[in-house]
Amino acid sequence: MSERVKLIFLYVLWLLALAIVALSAANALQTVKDFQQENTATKAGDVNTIRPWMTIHVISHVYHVPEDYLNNSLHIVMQSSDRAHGATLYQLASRQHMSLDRFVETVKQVIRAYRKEHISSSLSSPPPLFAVLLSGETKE
Amino acid sequence: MNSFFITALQQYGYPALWVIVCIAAAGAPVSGNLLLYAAGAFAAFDEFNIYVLFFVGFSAAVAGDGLAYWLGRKFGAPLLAWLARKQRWRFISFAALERSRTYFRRRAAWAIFISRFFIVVLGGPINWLAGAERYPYRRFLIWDASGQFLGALIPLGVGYIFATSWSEAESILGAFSSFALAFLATLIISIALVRRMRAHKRSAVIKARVLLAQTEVQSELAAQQPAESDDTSAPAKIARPTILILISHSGGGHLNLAQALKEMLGSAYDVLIMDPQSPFIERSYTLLSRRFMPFLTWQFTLTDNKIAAWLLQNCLAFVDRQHVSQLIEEVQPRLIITTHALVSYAAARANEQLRQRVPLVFQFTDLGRLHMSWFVEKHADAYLAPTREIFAQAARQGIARECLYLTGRPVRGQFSRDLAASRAETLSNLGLDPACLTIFLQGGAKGSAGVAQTLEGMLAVNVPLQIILAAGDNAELAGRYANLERVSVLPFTAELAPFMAAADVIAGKAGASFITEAFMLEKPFLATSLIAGQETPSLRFIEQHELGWVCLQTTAQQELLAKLASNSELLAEKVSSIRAYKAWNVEANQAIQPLIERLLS
Repeated sequence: MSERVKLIFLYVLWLLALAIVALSAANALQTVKDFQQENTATKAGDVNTIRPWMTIHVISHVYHVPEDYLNNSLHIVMQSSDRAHGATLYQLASRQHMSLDRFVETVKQVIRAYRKEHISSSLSSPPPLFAVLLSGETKE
Repeated sequence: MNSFFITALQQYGYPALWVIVCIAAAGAPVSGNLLLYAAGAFAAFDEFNIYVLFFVGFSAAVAGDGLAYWLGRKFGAPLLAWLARKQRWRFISFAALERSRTYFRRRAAWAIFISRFFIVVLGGPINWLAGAERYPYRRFLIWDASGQFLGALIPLGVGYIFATSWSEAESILGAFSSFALAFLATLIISIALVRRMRAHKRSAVIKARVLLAQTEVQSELAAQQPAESDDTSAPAKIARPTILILISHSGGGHLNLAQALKEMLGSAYDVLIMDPQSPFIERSYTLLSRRFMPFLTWQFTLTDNKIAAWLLQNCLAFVDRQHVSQLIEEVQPRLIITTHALVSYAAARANEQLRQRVPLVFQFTDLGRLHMSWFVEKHADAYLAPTREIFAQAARQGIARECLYLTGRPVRGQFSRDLAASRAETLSNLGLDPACLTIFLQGGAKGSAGVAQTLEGMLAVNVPLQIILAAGDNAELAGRYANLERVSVLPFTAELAPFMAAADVIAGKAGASFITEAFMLEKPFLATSLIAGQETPSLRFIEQHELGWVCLQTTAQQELLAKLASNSELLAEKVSSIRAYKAWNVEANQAIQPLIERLLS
């Protein structure tokens, strides 16, 4: 390969590298924005920030819903293989033979229902899972 | 896949974390890092203990890295050796592969450290490569453990702090890591581009210089051809091995020595003398030697120890290596000789980079003692010592005995000829009296001899003496003494030997080259000045071998000249010891040509 061709090749590579730098800088800024939004939403208790890796214990802490209420509403029974703080939503969805998305949606509904109940300060016991799903409260 | 591992972490706790992180570190396509972020987040909700997590993550990663290292050592090294034998690297040349392996061996420590926490994706391959290259395990473990300390701390810490948003925080770190990587790659490419563009320009200059030097060699060769040939057509060019002599134009002795070697080897080889350094070095040296002499002395003294010499040589190699490489690539020599310490290390490093290494010879220059910068490179093919003193010093400094040769100090042909017969004629031509005591006084081309005081002191002696003043290119000096009685000013001339031979005593700065030329002409040397430090050992050398006298003070010089003028026996005694040393030197010089032939074969 002649010296001139090598120089041209290197120049093209340099331009390409510059483009990648620009793209990765834009991407880094975008991730910062996403993080800020996500963090704000989580702090505000937005249920859309629920993630499949969370356990009932974590959800209880983050969204300020009693752990027992969640367990009862979602009909969760601790298994012998579970660690002290329970299983992730992945595991729970699998045990209840539901798709992960549907199970997460159910969890969101339970949290919304809990909040609604406590705003109207009425119900003493949480509604069962399927009652929530069939009650038409699936949309706010 | 990630959900599976996070579920496993939740279900089986610390043992699951240890196994997964270990497998990931060993090179399996699993993100052990992601699991550490998740574990950090769980720890924030009291589902794990953060300290135990750190210990588990750290130990698992170090164990996994060790496993990959040993796999690389067990299977990688034989595989690389087999591929090298088969030369089946179709997509990359074997030489390029070798260069990258050498580069890895040099930078392995940083590569291991950085890939633990920054460019994590390279961790597995680097572990394997370190093992395959048989990188010392103890060193590997140190760098690995240091890197993995951060490698476990960062994801666990970030997961713990941003518990609910750990995956987004991980994305930020990933994005910034990618940005840094892209920026680094761009920086490297930019440097390579600038260097290549500069090298492209420099290459044209080097080509022109080499062409000029080659033309000179061809002209010299043509001039030596016997005139009897009737064939008027251009002589067929006979391919002769090329020897490249690297010098630095800082000081004249190195160039004289290179020219002496060129004359000695020129009959059998094409010998090119080149200075790979920037002209700035020569200009700086001239300025310093004329105006700031103490600076040169300090520089010499301060760098005359192992550590400072190593630093100096590495700085020079950093600046000069590419230039020397280009020069070697252009000349394509079969042998490289260097006569200057300050280009020796750069020459060795540049030689290492070549596709095919060229035999490298260091021709030591000084007589009494060498500067430590000569001994930074200890792997040249041959070291030529000009005196027994230098031979002993080189051996003490760890130069391998089988590479060390006592070859004397060669001089240019003009100093080996018998010029005694032309003495009277030369002096008459200079307007001097052949019967009078004659001193040849070196002005010093670079002006460092401090000659004015010496000359005036000599003229003040109340005895009949006359002086040949070699003023070199110092026009100021030449003009100052041009019309003085008993002084003949000699401008720059390439043929200095007849004038030195016409004198009874050679006086001047105690440079190694000048002293050698004096004893080869069988003339006593009178050392009147010196570059302190650098030339101080030469004074002892003169006295030890009875090659002349050392009189640095004007009064001492005057007393000596008065004695010499009144007692010619003193001169005769000195000449007999000089002849003995000359005979030894001439005999030692005989070893140079066979040695070069052997190295070239």
